[in-house]
Amino acid sequence: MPTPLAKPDLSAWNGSKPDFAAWNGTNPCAAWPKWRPAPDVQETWDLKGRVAVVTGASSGIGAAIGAALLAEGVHVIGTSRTPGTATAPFDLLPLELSDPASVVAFGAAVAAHPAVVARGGLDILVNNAGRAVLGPVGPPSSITNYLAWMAGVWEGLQTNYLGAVRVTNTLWPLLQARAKVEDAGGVKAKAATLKKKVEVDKHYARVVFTASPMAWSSSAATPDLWGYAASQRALLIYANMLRAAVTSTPISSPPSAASKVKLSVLAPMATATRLVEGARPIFLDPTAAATDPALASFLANIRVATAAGLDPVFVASAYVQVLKEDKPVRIRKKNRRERERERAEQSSPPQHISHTSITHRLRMRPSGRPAGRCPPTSRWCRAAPPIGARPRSPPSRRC
Amino acid sequence: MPGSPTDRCAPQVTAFAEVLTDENLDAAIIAIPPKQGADVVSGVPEKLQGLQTALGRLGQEEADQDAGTRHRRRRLASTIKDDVETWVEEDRSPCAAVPVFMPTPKFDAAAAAARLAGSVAVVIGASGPPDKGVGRALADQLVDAGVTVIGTSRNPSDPANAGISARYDLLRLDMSSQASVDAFAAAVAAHPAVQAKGLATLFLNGARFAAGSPGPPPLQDEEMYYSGAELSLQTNFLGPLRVTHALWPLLEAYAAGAGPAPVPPGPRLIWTGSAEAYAIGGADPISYSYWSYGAAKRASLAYYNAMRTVLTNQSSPVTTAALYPFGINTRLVEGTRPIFLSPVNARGEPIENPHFSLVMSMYRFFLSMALSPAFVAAGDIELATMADPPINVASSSWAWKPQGESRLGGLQDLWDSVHQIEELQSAFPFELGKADAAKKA
Repeated sequence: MPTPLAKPDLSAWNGSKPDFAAWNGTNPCAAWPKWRPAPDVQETWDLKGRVAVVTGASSGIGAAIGAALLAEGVHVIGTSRTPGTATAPFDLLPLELSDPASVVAFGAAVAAHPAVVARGGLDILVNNAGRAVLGPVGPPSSITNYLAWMAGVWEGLQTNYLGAVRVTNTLWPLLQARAKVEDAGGVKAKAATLKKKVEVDKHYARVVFTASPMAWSSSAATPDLWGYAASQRALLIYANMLRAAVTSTPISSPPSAASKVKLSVLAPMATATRLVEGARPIFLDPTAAATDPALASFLANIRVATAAGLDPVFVASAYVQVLKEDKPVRIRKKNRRERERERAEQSSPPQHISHTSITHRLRMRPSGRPAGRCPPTSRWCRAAPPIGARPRSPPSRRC
Repeated sequence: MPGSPTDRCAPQVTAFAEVLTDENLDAAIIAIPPKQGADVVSGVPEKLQGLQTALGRLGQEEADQDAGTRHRRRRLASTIKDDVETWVEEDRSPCAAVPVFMPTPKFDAAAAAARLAGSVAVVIGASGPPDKGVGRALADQLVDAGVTVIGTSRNPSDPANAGISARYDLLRLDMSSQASVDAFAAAVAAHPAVQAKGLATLFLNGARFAAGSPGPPPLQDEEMYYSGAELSLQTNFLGPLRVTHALWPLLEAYAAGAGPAPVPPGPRLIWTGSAEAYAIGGADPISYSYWSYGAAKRASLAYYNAMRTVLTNQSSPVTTAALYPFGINTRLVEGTRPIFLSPVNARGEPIENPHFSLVMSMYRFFLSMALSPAFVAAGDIELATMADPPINVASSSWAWKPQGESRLGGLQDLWDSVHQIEELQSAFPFELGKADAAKKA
């Protein structure tokens, strides 16, 4: 964690456009952290010696994540559209997300990478690369170049959404191979501690997606960012649903290594990167970008927002923190039955231990009546009504 | 309505129980719907006999099973039996999702549609049998009210479209192809009714369902997976965009008064989205198998919300609105051409994929007792005739609470809660507010 900085004094700022050149690389607003690690998080997933792929690591958040992971002892493999022009303290492989052939070639290059071969797989995948998608939404009569506009929409989706889908699917066997290796040791470790305490199962590979808070926006307030919001929300839906698919493997089949790949989504706030400024944003209507005064002022605002955004180093520290966390966050709210079961388990620990990870253990019901004191809500312990008692009142019909 | 909801539901429950197997039991437990609002149908527990019989079969021990399998089967069966007992105790059941509310008595769809009488409307995706499609139901209601309808179909000569030509014209349109959209726009512009009266209303209704698990790899058919995901975007997201662009000049010409006096409320575009546009994930197969469909619908939501803001800011005479229905009893999964992301045979049935088989049978189960197409079509008509339609509206009977005269207003509190959740999930305004509050404290 970087040391927290003092909030900058903006009292002298008159609201005009900041003088970026005068900042000379230091961002006066970088000290507004929106994310803090939970106080009770256990940092027990040791990063040392692991192998990670970070897409889009030539600049911005990706470069900061790469550097932070490197400092933790991770062997980092980065990607860039133009690896020759960027310098990084780790390997940079070429990858153009909007080109399926490039993703295939990238997958082969990762599989043949010496670090991956030596490790026997891949521990961490950080899907970070993305491109800003900017431009007018309409009305259709104002779109001067319809075909270029449509092509921009499609390219934005291909890069930010389907590109991440392709990379995840391509590298999945490597992640799964690593999870299998870890699992072989994990069963033994668990067996050794069976009679003492249920250890959190920490033998898995990790995938982290980078989304944007725009993914939760309806775009009504920021119409010129609609293309970005659309692609980011599509990515968020994919990541969430892939996670659901991975974690809800039928328990009637043996535990698979697939459920040992844990997925997380991080959505950093506006960050001081080149997403809009220097790298290649996708302009939905290139001609309008040059001539439309409304879009020009919008772009100026975006530049202020990103320049005054979070420090990429700070954002990267959040990624490291999430990777170190032992228990990934549940995405689904527990239903009533699960809550009831959890309460019952808390007051009387289960008599058997599941064969799979903790997620599955929470979903199972101990067979038979639990030992110890019964919680009043437990279904097993409901006393028979006394003879002559009134029948239970019907359930409430409130909606 | 023939029979009570209970009677209508019983065969569905039995059919659902019959598709339960060892492989899909775990998924089935999660997928059985929870309590749905206040739509409790009493007396249903007796109808669960078929389900209980199937579960009893699962609990039996068989000689060829190893001890672990036997143990798991017993535990699963006891879990489901507990569930059934809970339904009985709490007087609810899988059939609680049967919609018991139908149109608001005060809302007269025919009278509302009559306000559009004499105008011309384009209804995308207006094919199929009368009771199995929102577009078809919508076109029928409009024609009955005296509106000239131009419908579309990917295959107008399909036998299922028999009898449509006597009521309205059915043009060929495949929204995933720009060439098809261009040809369709030219045909609409040259249509005698449009030339005489102009185009007043555009109902963007067509959709193709996309089903298949997002993963995890290995993918059974990589080509099918990626082409399906792209086709879903092409049809459900880029398709409405293409049609919007192609027919926009006609809507603007109508606003300019190219034809006779415009019908109130002026040219309007209604996009029929899906409640999936607001879904963000789900732990059961039926939720996560529509990831590609949900992504496409959500992308369209971003487009139409942003466009509505721009049109409002510019005081454009053309107005838009969007309707997000929950599950509808249509051919979305069954008969028309859904997009599959998992291997299927020529009839659309899955090949050696028990997971996918379960998902499809569950879809049929839920959609068979979902909203009626006519109900959703009436919502479209209400949006098309309102003076100032709300920006995003759900169409559902599950959380239905009649309020006032509008069927849509009753859902506002549901929708508000959806927005509240979204805002809570979105860090932007809230985190800033929290930081300020912390500073004050």
